[in-house]
Amino acid sequence: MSEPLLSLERLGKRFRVTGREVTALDDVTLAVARGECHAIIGESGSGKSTLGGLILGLIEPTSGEARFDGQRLSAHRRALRLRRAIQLIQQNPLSALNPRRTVGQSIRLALDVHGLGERSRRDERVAELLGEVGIPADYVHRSPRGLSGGERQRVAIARALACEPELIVLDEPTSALDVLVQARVLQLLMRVRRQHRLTYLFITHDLAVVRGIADRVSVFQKGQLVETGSVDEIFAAPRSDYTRRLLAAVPVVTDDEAQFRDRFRVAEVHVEEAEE
Amino acid sequence: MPPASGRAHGDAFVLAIRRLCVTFRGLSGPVEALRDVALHVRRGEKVALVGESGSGKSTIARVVLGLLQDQGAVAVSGSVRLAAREILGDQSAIRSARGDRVTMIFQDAASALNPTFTIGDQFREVLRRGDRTISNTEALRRARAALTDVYLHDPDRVLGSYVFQLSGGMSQRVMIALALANNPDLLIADEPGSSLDVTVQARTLHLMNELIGRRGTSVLFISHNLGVVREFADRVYVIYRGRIVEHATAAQLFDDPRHPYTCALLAAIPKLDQARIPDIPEASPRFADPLIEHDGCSEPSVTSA
Amino acid sequence: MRLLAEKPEWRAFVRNPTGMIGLALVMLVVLAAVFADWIAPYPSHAGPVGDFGAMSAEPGRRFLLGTDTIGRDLLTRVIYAYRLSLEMAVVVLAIAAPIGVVVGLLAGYLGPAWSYALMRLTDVFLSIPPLVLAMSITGFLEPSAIHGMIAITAMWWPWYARLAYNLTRAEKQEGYVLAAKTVGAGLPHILFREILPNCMPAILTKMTIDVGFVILIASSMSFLGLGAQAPTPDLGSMVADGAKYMPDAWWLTVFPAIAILIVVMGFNLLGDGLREAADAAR
Repeated sequence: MSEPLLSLERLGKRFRVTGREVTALDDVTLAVARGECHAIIGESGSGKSTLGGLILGLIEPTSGEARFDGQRLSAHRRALRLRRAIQLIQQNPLSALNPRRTVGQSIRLALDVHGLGERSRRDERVAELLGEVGIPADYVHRSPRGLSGGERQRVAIARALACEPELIVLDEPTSALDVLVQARVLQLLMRVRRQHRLTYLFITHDLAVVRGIADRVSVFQKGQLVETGSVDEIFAAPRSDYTRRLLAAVPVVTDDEAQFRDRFRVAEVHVEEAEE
Repeated sequence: MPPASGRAHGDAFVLAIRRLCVTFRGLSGPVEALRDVALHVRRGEKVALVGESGSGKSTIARVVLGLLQDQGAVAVSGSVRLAAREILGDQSAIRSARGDRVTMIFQDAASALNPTFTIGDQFREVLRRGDRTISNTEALRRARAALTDVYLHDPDRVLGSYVFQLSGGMSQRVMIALALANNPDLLIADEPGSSLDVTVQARTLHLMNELIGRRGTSVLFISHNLGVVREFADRVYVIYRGRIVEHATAAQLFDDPRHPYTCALLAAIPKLDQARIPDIPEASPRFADPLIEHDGCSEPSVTSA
Repeated sequence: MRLLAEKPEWRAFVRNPTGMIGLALVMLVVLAAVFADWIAPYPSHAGPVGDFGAMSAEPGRRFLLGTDTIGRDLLTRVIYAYRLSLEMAVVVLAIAAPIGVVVGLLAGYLGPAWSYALMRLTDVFLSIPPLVLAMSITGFLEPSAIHGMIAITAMWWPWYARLAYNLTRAEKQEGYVLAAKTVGAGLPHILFREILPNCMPAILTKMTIDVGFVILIASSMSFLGLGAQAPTPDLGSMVADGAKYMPDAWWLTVFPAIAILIVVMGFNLLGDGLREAADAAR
């Protein structure tokens, strides 16, 4: 592997919540190669969203550092190049687009901020981007209010692509969508990744999706990196009990799938929820 | 259509819906939410209603619970019988059944429980509704037993807590215990646990299954998640755009789905044992008239529009 | 604002009786004020001179609402007083609202230090009783309509800061703000192009209701002699002057008071109607 696009060195983040120190991310070291789709798996409180926030420069780490293409990532005075090169697709497409701005305005913003393309040709570029994500060109003047969840997520993808990014952080991008829509949006994501040679950091809790799209997987639990490896390795023989438990809990729809999953099952024990 | 099995006399149905049509008033004209829906739940049976968002699945729950008029429905017709008693248009019948003979659990337990009363207070109120003469000590005893049933090992602490002091999984268990406290005939579960983590959701469903099996409670399980339905239900109805398009036992539905919509749904779900994303036609599929009989999924009977 | 009639908000508004009654009252007042020169029966009575042959005439055919002690037609003076009141309200809100909204947006969006500083400043202004502030300003300067307006503006902007602050805090959590940030947009864009448009319905509703309240406060001030000075027709000073002749010349007090009631109620109902329509259209 050559120089990784994204590398995390003992990255940590502690928050102070009502006087108590809470460790959201604990000493995480991880490398993401250019062009790979790296899945980040974890449940709530695993630190996976904190990780996304750190990479996007929304929060500052308390220890360690993150480097993107050799450049140190920081929330303060973030270089415009970094603000362009790292983009985000959010979970909830209903709130990700401003209801008071048209679809066209939302996408065009990205072009204007980074001065991409000639000013006079930017409207054309917006139409092109819409075409690329399968949204009719006449949607430019529409408010996102009339769009379905899947359509909005496509527009959000077009907006991210407008920045000509290198890395996209996808935070549960399809978990709010219906299955038919989810399948199509996943296909779209895979297609644009190929075409634009993008690197994905795909944050999700859905292991079946991970199996289908990811090259490498990192499993997080309570702020710690539990294990990391290629998809094939992890799905063939997870090393940690936690990964095993996650796999065993996946709801499945076919017998083959059930067989695959049940290899990870151990006897059900009722434990009182330890979390409080 | 479905395999008509065993006891066909009216009493065997805890819930029987026939020819149910519901139309809402939208800002731009009437919207048909349910069309000619037929559905029944037998005593002790676990029935799932599966559909995507906007399919009308939650409207059915609202009809059964008599919560429809809050939604601005303009026209409701057909028949909804709870334990052989017609409830459509009979608010007093619905009121006497709701919270006692029929209970409901929701996707988000934390917001379904009252934040201003302790769990103990809420138990007492629910138990009183079932038995007006219940004494405080008896109510406390039964509340403790109900919480122990859902594997909360320190019931006294939980009874003295408010919902915000409990974790997501714990409030989910408390909600289930409350819903089952009066031994209802029918439990309506609307996407239970879907806002929880997968491991917690799996445990919640497992627990629900166990409790229901022990009591013989009938369940109408409303969900968009076919995987969860497969683990849980005896029989499944698939609803699409306000109509029931397919109805079969769970085993049949997952082994041999008949309607193209069901097939498309099943095909679209990413599979744990497959290293690729399901291939679904790009164009939005419009499914042929749901009322026409279909004969399986081998052919690409999805027509793109 | 393309094709108002197609907007769901508009359709919900038209169906709402509260809002429509408010709109009717407001239209009545606004039209009367705008076309005062044509509508008022005796336009010259807006000044210092009246009809000395008809002093303190009771309401009747010739003077619908009666005349004052120097024979000026009350209806004419009410209509011209509306003009002054509306002008004052519009100017006050046109200055107070933008100042308050900018302060509120910044306080709501920026970090805790900024938000603390700006909102405590706002609290200082809010903690001074409005009439005391107005009295000290007009006492320091001399009582006049202009100084009254300055006083009211100074006490009014903090309410907009509060409103905008709360709205911004809520909008800040929305995904579209995060999206604008990650796309790389700057602070002015995020505040004024992303967040502000989503706050506008609530701000405009408040402004509508406030037109009535500003008129009420301005009238209270002129009732105390701190606002517009004679001979300018002003609802507050008309009530105050008329009160000396109660109960014999009751119309001198009652009609201007009713006039205040109509305008305050009109803008209130209209504001409520707008709010309900915005809620219904969601």
